[in-house]
Amino acid sequence: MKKREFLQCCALGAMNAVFPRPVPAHLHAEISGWLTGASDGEELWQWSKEALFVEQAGDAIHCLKCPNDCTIPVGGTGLCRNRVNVGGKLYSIAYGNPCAVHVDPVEKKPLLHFLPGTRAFSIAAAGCNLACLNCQNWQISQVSPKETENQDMMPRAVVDECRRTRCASIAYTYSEPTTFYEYAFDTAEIAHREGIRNIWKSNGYIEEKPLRKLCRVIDAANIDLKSFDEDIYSRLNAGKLAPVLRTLRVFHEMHVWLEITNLVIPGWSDDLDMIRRMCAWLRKNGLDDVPLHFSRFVPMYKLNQLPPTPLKRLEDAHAAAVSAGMKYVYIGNVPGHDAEHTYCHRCKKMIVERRGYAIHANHIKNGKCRFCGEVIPGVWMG
Amino acid sequence: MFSVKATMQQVVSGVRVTTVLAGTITAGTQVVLLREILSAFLGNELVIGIMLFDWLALTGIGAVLARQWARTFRLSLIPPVILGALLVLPPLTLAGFRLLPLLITPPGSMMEIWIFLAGAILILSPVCLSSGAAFSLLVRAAASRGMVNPVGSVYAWEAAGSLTGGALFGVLLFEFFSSQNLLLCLCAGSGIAGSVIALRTREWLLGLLLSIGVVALGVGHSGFDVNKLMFTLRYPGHTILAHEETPYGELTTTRLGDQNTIFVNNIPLLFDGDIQSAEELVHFTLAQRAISGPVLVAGGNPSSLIPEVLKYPGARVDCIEENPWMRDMQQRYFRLPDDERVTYLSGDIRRHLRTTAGRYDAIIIVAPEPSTLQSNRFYTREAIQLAHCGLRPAGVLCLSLSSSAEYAGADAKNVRATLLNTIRESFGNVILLPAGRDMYLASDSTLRMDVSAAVADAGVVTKFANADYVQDDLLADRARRLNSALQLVTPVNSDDHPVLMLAQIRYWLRFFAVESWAPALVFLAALFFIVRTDRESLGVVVAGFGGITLELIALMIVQVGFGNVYKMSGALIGLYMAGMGIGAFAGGYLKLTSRRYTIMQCGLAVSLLASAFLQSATSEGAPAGVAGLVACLTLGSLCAGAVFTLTSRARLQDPVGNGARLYGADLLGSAIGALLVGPFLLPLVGVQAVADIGAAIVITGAGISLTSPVWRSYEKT
Repeated sequence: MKKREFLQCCALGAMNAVFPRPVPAHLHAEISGWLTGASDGEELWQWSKEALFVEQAGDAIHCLKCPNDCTIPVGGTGLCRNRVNVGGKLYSIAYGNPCAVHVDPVEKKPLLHFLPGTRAFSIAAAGCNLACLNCQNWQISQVSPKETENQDMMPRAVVDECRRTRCASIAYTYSEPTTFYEYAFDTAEIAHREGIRNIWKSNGYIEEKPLRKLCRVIDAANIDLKSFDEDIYSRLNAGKLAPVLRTLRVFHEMHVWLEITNLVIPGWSDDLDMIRRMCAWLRKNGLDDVPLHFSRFVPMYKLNQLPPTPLKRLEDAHAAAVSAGMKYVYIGNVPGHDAEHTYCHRCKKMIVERRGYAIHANHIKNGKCRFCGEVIPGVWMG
Repeated sequence: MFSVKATMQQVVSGVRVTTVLAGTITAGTQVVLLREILSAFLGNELVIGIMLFDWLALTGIGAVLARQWARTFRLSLIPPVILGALLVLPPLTLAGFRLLPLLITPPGSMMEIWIFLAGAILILSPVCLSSGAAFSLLVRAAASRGMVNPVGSVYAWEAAGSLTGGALFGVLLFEFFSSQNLLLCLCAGSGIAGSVIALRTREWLLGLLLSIGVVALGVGHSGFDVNKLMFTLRYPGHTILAHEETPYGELTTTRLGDQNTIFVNNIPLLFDGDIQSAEELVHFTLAQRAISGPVLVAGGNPSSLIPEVLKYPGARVDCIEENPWMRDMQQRYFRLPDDERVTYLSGDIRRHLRTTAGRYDAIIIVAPEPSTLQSNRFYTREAIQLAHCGLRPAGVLCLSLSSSAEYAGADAKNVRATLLNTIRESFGNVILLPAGRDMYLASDSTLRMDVSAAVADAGVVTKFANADYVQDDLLADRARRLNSALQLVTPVNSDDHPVLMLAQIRYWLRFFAVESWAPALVFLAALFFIVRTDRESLGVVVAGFGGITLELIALMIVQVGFGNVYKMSGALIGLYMAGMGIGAFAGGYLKLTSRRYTIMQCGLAVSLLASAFLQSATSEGAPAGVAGLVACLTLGSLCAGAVFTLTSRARLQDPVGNGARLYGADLLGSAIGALLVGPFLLPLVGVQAVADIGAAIVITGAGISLTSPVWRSYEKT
């Protein structure tokens, strides 16, 4: 690095500290790589695969996978930290190398209307295309796959491991699966062929074309709708709201089972007017029967100087959503709360008595309320 | 009519007052800002080290930069201008530290480290550069009166001022004044003194301006409530129920909706409805044995922890809290169980375990993450051994860290493995359960990983700690993976070798994607100046380094031995400053020979070496150990002060230039010590090695210094 470039990087680094993502993607990556001593991804490894959804832009490659819209020069890395331009070709370096592999109850995603009581074989590779101040998985989302400790688990092995652990589904989760799209897609394709369900747990920050392709192999998705305000998305998450809303519409249109999580953060996303506007938008777009989870915030990562969400705020949000016409509204991260159960929208009776990850009673038969016969949207067993 | 002689006399008397006030107010500002940093930036040992480095280095730079300017400054203006700066700059600096972070960072978020680094330099620069420049100006004022050793005298008076500041803040703070009010009183006093001196020396305009300044400060303070604005920005929508400045940090209780929260240094520590954390801590521990005897709960939220403990038939609870202000807030805003089975204790858990005759079935320690020497002392081999001794034969100890349930990177693993290996030194069985927090359970008897089954076996009804929320097979699977990943060889965390603290700081730096060696770049920059310095100044650099190393060792020993001892720490710093002042005075009367100089440097080195030997004696709280530590600190500070004055006497020509250079050298050495010793050297190599390194550096620097022609020429004369 020349002296001039060094000074430029210092200045941009300082700017970047103040304004999360105003700098060009390749410089952002270069600065962070330089500061962390991490490889900038110039070298491929056995977990590299040529990336999908790209277009040539001279020597650089324009990545079309997510709304960050990175144009990555030769030797550069995308904002997600796992797409690198080597010799004028874009590669994902997160293919077959998950850093987190666990078995979780499907309710943990959270998905309450999708095969309740089953387990999901959950994987994540490092990387994320947002930079949320409250990220609970920052150790894997805000780094490159070359900085994490990974397992060697190619798509076939993931499916085999899912079978071995007797899970009903594979969940692409923890970090942001959009950033390891190629790996997730290939795995999901094999699983889909073999009758294993696929779950997409994501921030919804993805372009339409890759999303539509993905919908062919994904059975259920839980999307974090972090707020309903462009300014909050920009300041809290370094992203934009509009692409996430588009994702919700596309999943619904493509008949992928969809649930939405809204983390209620005091002072950020707990404004009841905003929640009402969000619910009105969901209704207007035909998403009123999509389960909506209001999740309790706990201080995390860099957003550590806020209190946990008061229970009353969550209950107010719940009431606002119900009165705005949302049919299935839940409260998460509050053990023992009555809003963990599922109530029939028509007869108001409790149809799934749920405590945490355990189903104590299930009154849904053939996808209908046993008491009034109302169809309960979801993917049910039996 | 003023005679020239009378005016000069007044100037010199003003110099003494000004010097003492400058020392007092800058020491006070330093105390207040350190507390602000703890509040605004989750102060850990590295952050404190960086702040001290900035402070000392900027002051030194101020002295050096002002030396030319000081030579031409009008003499009569020197004291009132300095006192005027002391009237204006500390309040502005304090307001900057309080408000700027809130204006530039997103609400509720931690400041980015880059902003902190740049911001600290920016905000500290006016007060520190002025403070350094004041030294050069005061040396010139003192020299103009024909004082024999103006540099040593100003240095000594300033040390006396620092001692006064330290004493005032140590004695009056918390009991009678808030830190802000005490600082503002001192600043107003400085303005009044400046105004009087200006008027006596017929600097009418300046005198008037200072008078207006004092009035403006008073009006501004009564009319503009910085705290109110700060609370509005920091806690939007909250009702502030209580706010206390305590030696343990700032406590604020707020109400948001139906929830009360106690913030400690802005971090929410206790809040209503903390079910998951309370149930995990209590039931994962107590269900191991279906406890039916005494349980010790240290820290945490007693209003949610104690009811869970009392679910076990026959259980009794000793609940200990170190901070009496915290206990008071808990009683006022959280419902503490009023039950005959519960005993509320105040004090340090280590001291309690050392002195109590009783033995417990379980000990649950809820402590902050070990990122400071203060919090690290709950996780050391010695603390865990005390807990082991405080348990009955099959008793269970519970410690916890933040969660790494989904993934633990290399730094997180290093922290967890270090603690695991440290606990294993004392206990036969240790398990680590990655739940809402990473729970370390230790016992000499067997431990169960199937905690929800254990809770069911105990017949206790819970909301969270049961099979509905905690699936034993999945938890055990995660625990097995994590435990196998933690089979690392790590050093054991001990009182005199706090490796866990450095590991935690390295983990914390990962928040900002910064490598832990990055602060070393600052050290390299400082090294550049050392290489360029002349040989006699090098002697002062190493004395500054040795002095602060001695101070940090003493503070660490006292902290580890006695817990959060704000007043004792203040007393030690005061003792050191007093020793420096007396040493600097005495240095003016010592015969100026290289032999005396060598003896002083050796005295500093010896006190460093001796202090390390007192670690174990003092950690047991033995009076002889404390007395020995006081003796070491006194000897070391006397020697360090004398070294400065002897060196300044060896270069009598150009007192302003030489004074600035030596003062800068002293502060540079101290700055390097502040950055290097606390956060890095102590955890990396331990107290004994730090003392050895410090002593070696002092002796080597002194040796090089003695080769200077200045010393040789002085020997000949």
